[in-house]
Amino acid sequence: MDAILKTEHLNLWYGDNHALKDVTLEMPEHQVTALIGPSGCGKSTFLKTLDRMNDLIPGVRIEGKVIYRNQNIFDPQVDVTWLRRHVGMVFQKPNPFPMSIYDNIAYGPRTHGIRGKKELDQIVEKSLRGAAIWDEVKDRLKKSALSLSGGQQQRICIARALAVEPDVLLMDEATSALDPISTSKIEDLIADLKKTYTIVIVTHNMQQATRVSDRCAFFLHGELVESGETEQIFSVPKDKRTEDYITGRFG
Amino acid sequence: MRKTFDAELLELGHELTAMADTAQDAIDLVTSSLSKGGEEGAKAAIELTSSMDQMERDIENHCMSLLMRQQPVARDLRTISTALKMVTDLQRIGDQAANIAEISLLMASDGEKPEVPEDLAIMSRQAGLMVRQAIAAYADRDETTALAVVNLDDVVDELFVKLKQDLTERIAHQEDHTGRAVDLIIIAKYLERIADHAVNIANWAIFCVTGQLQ
Repeated sequence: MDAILKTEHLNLWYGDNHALKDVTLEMPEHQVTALIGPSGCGKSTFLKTLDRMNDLIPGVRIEGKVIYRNQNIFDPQVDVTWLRRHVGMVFQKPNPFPMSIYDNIAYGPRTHGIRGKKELDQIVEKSLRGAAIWDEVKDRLKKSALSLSGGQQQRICIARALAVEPDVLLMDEATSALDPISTSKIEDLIADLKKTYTIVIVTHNMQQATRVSDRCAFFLHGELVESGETEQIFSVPKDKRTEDYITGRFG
Repeated sequence: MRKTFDAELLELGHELTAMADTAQDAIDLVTSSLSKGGEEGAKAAIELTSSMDQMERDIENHCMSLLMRQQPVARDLRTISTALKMVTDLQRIGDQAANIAEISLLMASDGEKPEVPEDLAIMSRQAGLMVRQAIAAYADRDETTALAVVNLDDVVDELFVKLKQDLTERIAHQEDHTGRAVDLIIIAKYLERIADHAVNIANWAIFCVTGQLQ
């Protein structure tokens, strides 16, 4: 099992609040790792830390390592733009830019210096196909991305993340604002994407975690209580706190 | 939290316990009617076992509904999936008890009042007790009782072997009506099968608690 991304003794404080406590977790390549736990348990903080999205929050202090392809992402020589090119993020609420579908997807590649129309056309098509939305939008690429439905917008955001050809895709409750049909499209998409990418998701939906993830990590009060294969976590969890959470006894 | 679901799981345990009690009553009735002769006990036992058909369907429906509505995981999933397995074993136990009752009715119609070997009565009591305790182990999440049921199977198996030998000898020495002795061997075999089903139930009860299949 090759971990493309892992944390070692990761601690994070928001001021005095110790939000992540000594978290050591491996996220293997081409697998879906689901982070689960009640609100405020630290799972979203953990996900954001993997992309260094907490750096600019005042009062945040981080200790320990996040290692992406043998490189500690907190090393001074690491460029955050480089990191985010390789580790993409999709948020809970679809947040397409207020521009055309085409420009949304081309935005990242353009930022990275790609200007040729032909090359951009190819990237846009490939990314939209990768996010399973090409057929739905190919005839209206010049239309505003905001004119699409929520589920389509979320797939545009996934396509936008794919356009810079990352290795890892982080998804923070990416389907919680979507209806069941859009949710199942994104879940199918996750199953396809993991052949090419490594995926880490945060979800409040236990059934979704069992449907889409290969591995699961259960967080509570900033601590990683238990991690392992999803099948094991949801059939015979080792820790009573995990069992109590997944069966809805608290949280 | 989740008061409704817990109450439903408790109710499921009660339903299985009621079905196990019915099975045990049927086994008791049928074996006591054997030695007493007459048709009354056997007929009552058959009636009891046919009421188990409806209980089986009700428990299955309850399980399916819980699976659909609660989408259980971990111990909850084991509690419901093992109930689905156990109810089949209980149903088979009912079938075996009904089979014994049928033989008993045939004997009664021949006007026979066979001398029932003491070991057969013991087997019957043991088998009935095992069924009851296996379900109690499930309802109370009691691994120790479940293991005790599994171990009791050896006692029943030994009794069966001994009974078979005794009855075969009777046949050999023509001490008894041969057909009757064969009937008693078949009844003993049914009781031995009932004990096997009780062991299945006990193993499911252990799985429910530990998550480990025996």
